[in-house]
Amino acid sequence: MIVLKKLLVATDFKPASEAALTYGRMLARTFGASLHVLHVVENFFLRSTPSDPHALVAARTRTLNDLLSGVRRDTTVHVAVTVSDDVGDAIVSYARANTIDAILVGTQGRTGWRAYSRAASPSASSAPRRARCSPFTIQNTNSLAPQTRRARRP
Amino acid sequence: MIVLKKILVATDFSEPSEAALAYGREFARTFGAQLIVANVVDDVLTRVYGADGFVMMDPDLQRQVEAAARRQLDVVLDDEDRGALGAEGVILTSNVPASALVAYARERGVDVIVMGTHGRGGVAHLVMGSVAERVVRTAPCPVLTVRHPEHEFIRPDALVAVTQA
Repeated sequence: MIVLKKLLVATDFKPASEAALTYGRMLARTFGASLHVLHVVENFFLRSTPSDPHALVAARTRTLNDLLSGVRRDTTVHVAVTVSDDVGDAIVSYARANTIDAILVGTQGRTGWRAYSRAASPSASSAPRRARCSPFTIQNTNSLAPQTRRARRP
Repeated sequence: MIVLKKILVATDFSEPSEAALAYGREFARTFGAQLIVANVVDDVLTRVYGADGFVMMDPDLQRQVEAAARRQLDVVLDDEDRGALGAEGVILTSNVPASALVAYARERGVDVIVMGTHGRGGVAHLVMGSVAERVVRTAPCPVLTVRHPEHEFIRPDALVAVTQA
């Protein structure tokens, strides 16, 4: 018997994340699970920023709440915005702290050198590999957002 | 509206693959989808072995490898899988498992791929890579990557009961 009671969608508001959220909502409804939606804001400590970091966190929280207003009708939703230098680590920490059963992450579907150069930086894509507390993750939700696919160069 | 009609579980018969199959079954049951379980075997005739470039020339060997994988698949899939879930076992032959799985998923119009991952990190991950990760990056559909089931069978109620005792 597999128990899916808490699902976590990590979002950066990009189309791939929107697709992950759509998928998460469907799974939450099907399995009667609650949906946790997490956004990780880059840590601006000791860096020059165009605006107040606290205002930025508040703005992202508002955006997230607006985004989820429709979802709340049929699903229990928990919204969280956290500040971290390491997005993957922040997602995994949140999942551990909240005993999440599944993490859903949208990915850009990078391949080849772009994937390896990206792997050097802390990203949400590394969360599945590091998330020991979650039994599975859903990635590559690009197929749910076909408009985001870029045309391949000839 | 998201529809899941075909669920492909990729297996190498390891422990994480068993966990992936458990999820595949559950999803197939929940969504009324068909379960397809695929194993990728080496293409021994085109693979070069060792530093001297040793190549297998016995065509029977390929058949034996595929037959052995088929027997393992028959053990993994039970009658309930075949009956209620319309489960189908598939042997793919390739030296690049990720590409074979992605091509098969595209060809069959699979809605979601479920596969186990060993979760290697650091140098091991950089050197050896990960079949699951390559599938995630190139698949035409969502991919569920299942880790070792350390969390799977622990139900919160059971945990509370143990703590209280």
